[in-house]
Amino acid sequence: MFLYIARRALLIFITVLGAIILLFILFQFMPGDMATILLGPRASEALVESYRVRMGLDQPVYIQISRYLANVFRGDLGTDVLNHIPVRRLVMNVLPNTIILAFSAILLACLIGIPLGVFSAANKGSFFDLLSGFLSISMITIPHFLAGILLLLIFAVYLGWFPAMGGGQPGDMINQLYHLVLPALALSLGWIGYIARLTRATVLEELGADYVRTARAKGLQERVVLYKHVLRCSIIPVIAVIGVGFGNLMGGAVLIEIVFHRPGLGYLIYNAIATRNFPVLQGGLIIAIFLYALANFIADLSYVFIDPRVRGE
Amino acid sequence: MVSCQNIFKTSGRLFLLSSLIVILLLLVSGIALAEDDHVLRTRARNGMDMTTLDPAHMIGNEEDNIGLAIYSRLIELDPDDPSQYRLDAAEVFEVNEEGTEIYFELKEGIRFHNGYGELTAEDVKFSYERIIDPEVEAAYADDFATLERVEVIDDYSGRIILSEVFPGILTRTLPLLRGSILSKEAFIDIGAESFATNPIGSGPYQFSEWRPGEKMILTRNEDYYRELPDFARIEIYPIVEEEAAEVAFDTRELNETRISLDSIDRYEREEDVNVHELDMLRFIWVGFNHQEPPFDDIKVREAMRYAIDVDEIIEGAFRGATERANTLLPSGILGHWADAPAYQQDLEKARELLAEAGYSEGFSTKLASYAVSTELTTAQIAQYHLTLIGVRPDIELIEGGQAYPLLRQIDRPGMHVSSFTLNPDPGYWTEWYTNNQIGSWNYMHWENDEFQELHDKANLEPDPDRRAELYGEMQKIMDEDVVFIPISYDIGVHASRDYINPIYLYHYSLYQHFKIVD
Repeated sequence: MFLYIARRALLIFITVLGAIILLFILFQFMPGDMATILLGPRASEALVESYRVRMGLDQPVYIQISRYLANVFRGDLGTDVLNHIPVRRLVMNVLPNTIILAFSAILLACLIGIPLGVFSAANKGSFFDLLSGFLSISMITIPHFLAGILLLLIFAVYLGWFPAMGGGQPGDMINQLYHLVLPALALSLGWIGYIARLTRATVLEELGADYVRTARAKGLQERVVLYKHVLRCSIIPVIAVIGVGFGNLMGGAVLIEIVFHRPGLGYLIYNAIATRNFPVLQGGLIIAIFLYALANFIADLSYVFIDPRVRGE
Repeated sequence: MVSCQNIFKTSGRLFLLSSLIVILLLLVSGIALAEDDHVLRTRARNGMDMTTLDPAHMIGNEEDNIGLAIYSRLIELDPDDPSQYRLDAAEVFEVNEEGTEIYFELKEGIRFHNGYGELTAEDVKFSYERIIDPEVEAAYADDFATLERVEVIDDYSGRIILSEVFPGILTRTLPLLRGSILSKEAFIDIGAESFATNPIGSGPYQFSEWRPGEKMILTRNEDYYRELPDFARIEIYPIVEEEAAEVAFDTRELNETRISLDSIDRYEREEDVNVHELDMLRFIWVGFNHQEPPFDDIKVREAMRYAIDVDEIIEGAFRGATERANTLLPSGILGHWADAPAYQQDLEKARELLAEAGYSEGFSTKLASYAVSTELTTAQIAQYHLTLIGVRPDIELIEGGQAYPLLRQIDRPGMHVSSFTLNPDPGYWTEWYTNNQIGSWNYMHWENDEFQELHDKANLEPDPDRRAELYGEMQKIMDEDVVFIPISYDIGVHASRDYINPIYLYHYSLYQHFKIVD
């Protein structure tokens, strides 16, 4: 088991390292000079040059990469050159908002999607199954941002039940929760459908297995058979999908944070693009990559605890 | 039917719990959404978050509005007549006849925020001399182009000494951001780096909090030396998308915001909304590279001018919400050429001119444009007009970072749609079309010694009437040479709830003058 974890951790490390290098190289191909963009049209050539030196842009790319990597591994993501605020601080300020949003969406998706999937599987071919199928497919096909706009128009603009923007007052949990409802729902909609369909498929597959027949023959209650035995085996692909999908969820969170003007990593990255603030953009993306890799790692680890076959390997 | 009851039982509990949460949230929602009339909630200019509030390094966007609210200046522009200045922190402000010395006396008892003491002439000296200090590397140090030094006479009086006359100091420097007076003591105490996001001024508002990516908060300075502003608190939200800000305005989470041109009619129909049109000081034009064929031939440039229907562009790209521009300087800016010819589309004449230039079959070219709605639509409409005379322009989309190096290339032939955001000094408008800017910000690479000479002369001319004449002459030269095709000065449209009477100065929102009305 230790070897399995070590192998996975190494793989994640290599992935993150590769992604950072690739990201750095891609930045070199971005049009325009960072210093000129940051300083605006009236900056003199001498000042632009001075900023280029300060940002290390005058050095060969390989030196820039090695310096940058060394800094990243020390936990230094750079500094916002204009206001001198460390990028790490900017990212850490908003990161909890994104994590809360992503986890709320996942939680909501699991809370609704899994029972819906089990219910559909247990009642295969019924009207409810068909209805659930129709709703699930509809939810999957609606993009996050569109769901966000629709929810915004219905619940914020027309009904006025929920706020249209912001993350709530810091320190006021109820207010923050209140601001979280629509974004989390918008982000989770597609996942509710996806998890419901996946759960339905895996439960159906498991329902035909020998151990289910044995469990039923032993006289176990159907609820116990479904939730204790079948669901436990069926949940593995769902967890895998959630792990891999966390990255997509982060992508969705970017759009949702923009639609709801909600502070978060996505909004920070988007703002950095709009203001051409490359150090912040780079730092934000690295954290996003790291989170993506971490989510996959946790998903891999969870197999060990859920599936005895993986433990055996 | 397999265990439906149990599933329903579980789902029922979940539903009950969710319903309770929703009811609770709805109960608090009434409180959360209740409007507070004494809080101005607005969208940051261009939706951008702030970067620095150090006047030496501020380069625009919302920092401009905040800077004007948190810092005092010796003088300020009169919002009712921006061509005139009026006193702010100064009690006496006198320019000598030669225009090279400014004597000032400060009002007594002006206090800096957070207990940083009284504003003195030493603070004025520190604030202004700092901007021309090469070590500070202020990007816009040329706003104090000829500043030599500031002499402190005593605590409340001093003298600004210029090496040469610089009329712009009264229009673009002292009354605006670069004229901001910082607390020297606070700057040293806080440190330059931290001061950028924790500024100390003595203006009507003090900077209270910045939540990056979320909002900036200003609170009223209750010790302000002039009339206290109406709003006790200002919350500024960096909402990038204009449409998202409109939604927040509709839900009353914002009570003032910029709106899109498409939304003007909708908001004008709303009873409790006032719509305001702002002069953006932004000049948009269609230009060509004068150094390379075919646009090195004036006949070709004239043909372009007769082919492009500017009025149609105003209707299509600007929804008819703004007037067309016929010359560089807009009305309200010293030297505006009111009688500048408004060329109308004349395709026959355009074809004749092209034929005379040897292009009777037309030609292919490139038309670079930013991917910004108004500019791109301008390019698309112009593209259509040009095809009518056989010119085939390919639109080349350019992004901010890519635009500077691309348009600066002297040997890159073709056309472009571009814009500059400017300030109230006419010299600042003409500067970008001089010989000195060829290969840099003079995207047309247009060379004219007479224009350069007049520009230099006007910059040092203290008499406003004579200065206006010089700028008039310069615009005539531009027209004769067909330097570009002026399109528009752009327009910014803001909406506010009817209990707010906002005051704007060009594209700046003067928060300190926003009034609460019955």
